[in-house]
Amino acid sequence: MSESDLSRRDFLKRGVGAVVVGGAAIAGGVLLHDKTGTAGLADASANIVRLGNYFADIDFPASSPRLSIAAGNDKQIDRLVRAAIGGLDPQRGIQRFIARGDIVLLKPNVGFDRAPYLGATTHPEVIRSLVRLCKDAGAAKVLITDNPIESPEACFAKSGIGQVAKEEGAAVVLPTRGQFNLLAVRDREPDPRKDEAIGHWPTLTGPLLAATKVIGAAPVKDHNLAGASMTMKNWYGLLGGRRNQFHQAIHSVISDLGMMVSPTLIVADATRVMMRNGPTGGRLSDVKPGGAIGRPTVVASVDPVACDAWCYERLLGRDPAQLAYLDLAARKIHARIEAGERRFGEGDWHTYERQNKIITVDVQTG
Amino acid sequence: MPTHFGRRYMRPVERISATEKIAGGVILLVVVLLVAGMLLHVTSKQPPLFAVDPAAFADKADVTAANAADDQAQAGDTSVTSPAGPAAMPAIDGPWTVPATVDRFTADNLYLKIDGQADAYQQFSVRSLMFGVYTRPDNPAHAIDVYWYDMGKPENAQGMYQAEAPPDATSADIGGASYQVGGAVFFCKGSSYVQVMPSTLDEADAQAALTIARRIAARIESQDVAAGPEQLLPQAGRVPDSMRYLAQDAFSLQFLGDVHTADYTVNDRSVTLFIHRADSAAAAKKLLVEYVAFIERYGQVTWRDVDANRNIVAGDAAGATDVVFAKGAYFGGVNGADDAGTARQAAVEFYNTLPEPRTSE
Repeated sequence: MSESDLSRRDFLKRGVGAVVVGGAAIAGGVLLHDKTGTAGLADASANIVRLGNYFADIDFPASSPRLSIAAGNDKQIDRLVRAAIGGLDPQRGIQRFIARGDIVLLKPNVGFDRAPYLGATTHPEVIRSLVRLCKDAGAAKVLITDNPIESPEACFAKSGIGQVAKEEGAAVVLPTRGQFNLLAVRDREPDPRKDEAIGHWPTLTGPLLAATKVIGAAPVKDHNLAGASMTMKNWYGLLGGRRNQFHQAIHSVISDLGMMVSPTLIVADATRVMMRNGPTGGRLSDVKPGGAIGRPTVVASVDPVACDAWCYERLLGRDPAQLAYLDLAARKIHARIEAGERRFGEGDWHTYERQNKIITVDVQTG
Repeated sequence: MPTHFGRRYMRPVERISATEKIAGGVILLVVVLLVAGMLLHVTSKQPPLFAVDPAAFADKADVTAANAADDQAQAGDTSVTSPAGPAAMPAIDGPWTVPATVDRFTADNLYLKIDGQADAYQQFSVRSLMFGVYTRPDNPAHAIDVYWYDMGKPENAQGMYQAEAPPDATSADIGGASYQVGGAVFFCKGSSYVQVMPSTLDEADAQAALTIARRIAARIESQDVAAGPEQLLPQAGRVPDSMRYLAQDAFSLQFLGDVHTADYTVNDRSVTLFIHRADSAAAAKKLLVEYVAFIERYGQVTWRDVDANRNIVAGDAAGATDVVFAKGAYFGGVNGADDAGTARQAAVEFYNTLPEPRTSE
């Protein structure tokens, strides 16, 4: 059959056929499109979960301090932690936050296979003190978890936190596949134009869902990409999947995490502050006790944004206005507050200073 | 007449026209060229994709790597764990056991070991990391970690080493640039940058770390760094230990790399001089044009040394003063100064010390 023999009927048949094949290809592409991308590779059977607000039920008077800073020396870490938390409520201390029967999740930074003296991880004695405080307050169980990108067993061992957990009767929850779920940070695709980075993402939610209270305990340190790693960056350690892809939007991610997790209490560990070469460090010369303060310091707070801003300025000696994720987190948390959520997110810690809501305790002198 | 797709193509070969044959041949040729081009690009730009690690074929490595892959599937781990052969970590006397396994990371998966710090190493074109742990069977609390980076070339190793070194570091005397701090030993030799870190601050562990570092250094072949443009940075007024090498994105400028810098005190003020040797005078001038465009985008040009017919331009951008010049194949100047007068003075004096361009330049 030559081209000139093509009848109108044949032409129409071929045309319709081409449209059907093309349409089927497009429909197939749409149907097969993986909307979750690499996030879906973590666990195909993962459920989508949402985190509760671990601060919402705390009876925290409006007049109470929001930031409590205790400074002393490295032989007094237990006293520093108790003084810092006690500063938030001189009468009830930890009992303001932890009730009898609570299951408390401690989230330290155990992100690296590094010895405690290098300051890349939360000091094990800070964790020891927190476990004891929670147990003294009647906690039924204390869980400790993190999702180090290196071998979790090696990180918990080298950081000393695994040993402390064993000695104090806390349970270390290692990140196994069953502990991960798709966490809904927001119920829609993130909008990069609004500095949003995460919609749904595989996250170590098992221990979070099991806990009734959550305490973040993060070291204060320099960070090559983020500028600094403090209490909000600490939640990054819960992310699974190929989380390194977030390095390109690190400030959006950290502020998303600050918005996502509403902890019961946060503790910034500045017993030794990594002033440079973060987040790994590796040199004793990278580390300074108490950072710019010069004395081992522990900060307790109910406001992660103000806490990070204070630590950035007073411990790392840098200008909080230059740390993009602080302002982003404040904006995102305020949107949640305006929507009725009970939490704090003050971007300018000086506001609390003017309101006399910052307590400082010198442990050496009492 | 009934028809179906493909029928029109079901013709005897002799009925395929010459035009169709030529068109088909061209299409096949284009496809072959595309595949060849892609292979050439990938093998030259991303060699790790085609690199073969012989250790990965050892039986034990297969098992360990498989387990590791399963354990770290969440993170997408693609590192390779292999038995430490004699080519890896050296043995030392005493209670220390040589690393049983050595983890190997490429530039692409380095974040699995050092997370956010990996980006800093990638800035210096890191190629790979070997990581091993010396242990003491009699006392597991003591361990010594070895991070052995292959930075590709000596300039990159020195640059990364200098970027991390404390300003007051004293030499550990093990060959190459080195220092010891808190028991941990850091050195660069050839294209290697090595970190030997004890888990405790014990003096005995520090001594063992030094021994390991010396033995590793002995295995690394020295590579002389060709006398580079950093030799042209003035000696007078230089802040000790302030020389730095910026492999890429110097001063956060994507078009500028392979830059040497040093800090100086001029008129009681601090300035940073920098220099880059381009392939040609034309390439240096192109950099000058790009730098001036950057200044104009984020600030304004404040001075051009037009009268003396020298290619020196000063400007204020992003809240600081930059003075840049091209002289022959050299591109340099002052970056990020807080005083315009001092910056201009330092840049002009630096310009005058540089060799006059050859007539061929």
